[in-house]
Amino acid sequence: MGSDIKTFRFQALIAIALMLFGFGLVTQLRSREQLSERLTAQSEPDLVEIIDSLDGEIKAMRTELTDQQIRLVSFRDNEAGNQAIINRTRGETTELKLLLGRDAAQGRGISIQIKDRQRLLTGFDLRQIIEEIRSSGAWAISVNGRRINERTSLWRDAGYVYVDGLKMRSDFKIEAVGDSDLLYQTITLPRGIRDKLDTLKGVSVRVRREKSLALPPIGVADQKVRQ
Amino acid sequence: MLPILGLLTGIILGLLFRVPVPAWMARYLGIALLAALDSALGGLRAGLEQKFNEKLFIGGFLANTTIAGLIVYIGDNLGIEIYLAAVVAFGVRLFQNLAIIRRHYFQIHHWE
Repeated sequence: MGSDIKTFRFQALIAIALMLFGFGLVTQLRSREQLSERLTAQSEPDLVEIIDSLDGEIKAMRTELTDQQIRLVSFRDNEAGNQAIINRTRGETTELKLLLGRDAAQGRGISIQIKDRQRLLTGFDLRQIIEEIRSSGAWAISVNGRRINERTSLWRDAGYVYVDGLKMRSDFKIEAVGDSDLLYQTITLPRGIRDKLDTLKGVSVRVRREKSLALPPIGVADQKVRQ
Repeated sequence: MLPILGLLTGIILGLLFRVPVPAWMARYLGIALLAALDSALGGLRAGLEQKFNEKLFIGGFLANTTIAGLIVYIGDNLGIEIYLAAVVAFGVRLFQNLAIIRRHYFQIHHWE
């Protein structure tokens, strides 16, 4: 009896599995058949339309693919462009910092030794020299070790020249970093600034090309001058 | 006899009820059918060898069909036709089971 029940259950389970299989098989076959019938039933223009539509879809997908590729290239270019802008901005910032005297400057340049025994030179004279060498491409200038920028004030009072309020000695040493040859020529030009200063009594100007100059930033120079 | 009746019932039900199958599901259903047939024949063979276990059968039936469907899905998403591996595995086992069942019936009816 128990064996019969067991056999029945076994057979019933197999029957259910096969029933599901049969149902699925017929469904699958019919769906495939229906698709085939549907295509067969289509008239020639309909089929052409279907093929056209599929072609259109393929074209649209290709266009989409091309668009996406273009976007990808564009993103990559932008990324490279952004990096270039960042690099350029960094370079400009560094340049600006040097011009403003915020960073220490090193390099070739010139040094100008001015001896003014009669204390005839004014702030205006120094300003002229500075403007001359700046217009010749000097990107860092110092007077008696004090870094100067476009906001530096120069004036004379009681026979002394003051730079940003600090009294200077009667001997001046102007150092400028830039193209040493060009700067040298600018100062030593016949009838130029050196010749003009040399005409003053007790004033002597000596210009030298320097292979290596090191100008401190504004803050450091201030401290040195004050000390 | 009962399994044949079950199969016929399934076929008739399939013919009576038109269940629409979307085109994208055709492959899933195909592989699931193969897995179901493999399980059914495996169960039949186990029964004939007096080793049939209901729980194992039901578990195997459900697991095989589900995993077969999953294999197709994973293959579709990876762009690899992994389902072919399932087809080969089920196909080989199916023929082995069929051979054993056939031999068994031959022995019962003394046709050998």
